[in-house]
Amino acid sequence: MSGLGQLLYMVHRKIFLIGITVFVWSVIGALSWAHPHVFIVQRLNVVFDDKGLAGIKVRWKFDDMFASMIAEDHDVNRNGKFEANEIQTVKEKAFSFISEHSYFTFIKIDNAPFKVKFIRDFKAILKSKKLVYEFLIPCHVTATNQVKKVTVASYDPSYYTAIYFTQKKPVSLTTADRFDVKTALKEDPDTKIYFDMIHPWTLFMEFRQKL
Amino acid sequence: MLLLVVLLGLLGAWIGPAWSHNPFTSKPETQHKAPEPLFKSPVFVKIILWQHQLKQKMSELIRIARSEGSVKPLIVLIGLAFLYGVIHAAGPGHGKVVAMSYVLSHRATILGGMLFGLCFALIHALSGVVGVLGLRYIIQRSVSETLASVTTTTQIISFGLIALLGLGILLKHGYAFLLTPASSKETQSQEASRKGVLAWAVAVGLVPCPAVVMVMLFCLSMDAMILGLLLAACISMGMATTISLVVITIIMGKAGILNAVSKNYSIRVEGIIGVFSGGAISIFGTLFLLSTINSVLY
Repeated sequence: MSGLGQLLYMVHRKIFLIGITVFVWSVIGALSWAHPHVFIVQRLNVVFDDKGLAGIKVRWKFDDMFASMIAEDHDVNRNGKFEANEIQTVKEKAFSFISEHSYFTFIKIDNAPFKVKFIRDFKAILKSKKLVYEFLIPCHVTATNQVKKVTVASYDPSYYTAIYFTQKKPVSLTTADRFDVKTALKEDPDTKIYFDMIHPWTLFMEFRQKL
Repeated sequence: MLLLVVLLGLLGAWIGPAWSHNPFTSKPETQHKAPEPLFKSPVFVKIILWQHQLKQKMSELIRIARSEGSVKPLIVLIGLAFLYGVIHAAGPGHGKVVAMSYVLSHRATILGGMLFGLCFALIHALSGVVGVLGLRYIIQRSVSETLASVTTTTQIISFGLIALLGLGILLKHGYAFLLTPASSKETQSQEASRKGVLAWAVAVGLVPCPAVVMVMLFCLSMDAMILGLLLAACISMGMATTISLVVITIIMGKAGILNAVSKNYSIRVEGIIGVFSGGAISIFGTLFLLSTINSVLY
């Protein structure tokens, strides 16, 4: 082999090896994705009053391992359920921190963001070692003859937590008799999280006064 | 040189989330920062679901094993715990960066790499087990809150050790590369591979393993401590498998590259790789140490 040929052979071999190494690391890196760490199965109850939308009741059922951690720390009397004082502690030490992230609930009213600043009626329920959080997000939207569009996306922006809708009755309505309400659950193509890879599951709702 | 730049760039992506904290139980300033994956794919969504299903299946089987006392779910559980360890250790953090640096900066054998993986996984799991049992039976304090502060403390020690070890590699290879006669360089590199495996494993594995903590807590809630210890051991073996796989891949990749160049040139290349790896790990260790201290102070 000529000197030039040998040089080209060496260069090609190096490029090949570099390519292989980068490829292997890319594959391992891609497969290495071990997030999130906490899993929630969610149910939403849309609450109406005389004027229109009054709020969203959120029900989160946690994975068993996270549940056992919260029970270990906050079921002080070890009776397998939370009493009022324990619920208060759970709220302070294992819930309120997410207020910084809109309680993982991102609402839009007619495409305009509605910031969730506070919640009401927080409950932490521990039963048969399963953990459920329930809370109400007040969100008042007066119904008119025109269709109002509300979307409710549930996600943890840090993606430490994954939130799914339950398969059975994921969304229900309360006192909605006066209104025409349409709901649909789907991934929101306009919202992207975790480096634009995930479209969170979102409730799309339209409602108006019954004619 | 191009390979070094690419490898060091890839190293960065593996370090990030070592101090991940739960957003439910941590103050916003210390909360989790999601690591950016090397490339993006919808396959990830499937992997999340599998991970969720695996975790739920494990907790179901633990319940069955506890209530029925039968062996059958135990066998499946052991397999799942091992698999969980494999997947968990494949996540960002978990000493892969240090493992890579160890291999890049030493002339490590495959056996040495596997030993590193095993030592690291055992220490990482043991730290979680000791933490949970200590908090529950000795200190009797809140696990979720204390775990965050324990994790921060062990991270400060861990990052400090990593920075020091990285500095050691940098100085050693820098000295050998610049000041030692060419004839004695090879011997020094071979000697280095047999030293310090345990020191590296301790430096990286010191932070309690969150997967082991979760499984231990769940088993304790079922009054099944022995089962928890058994599963922690299985998770540990799974993590050891992943880390060893990473190390072996790097050893083979490095050997392939060094074989592609002449012997004299390969010693120089190895020296440069050692200097870069030591420098990178020292810088990463220092940066993460400062970042952790900063989150404690402010």
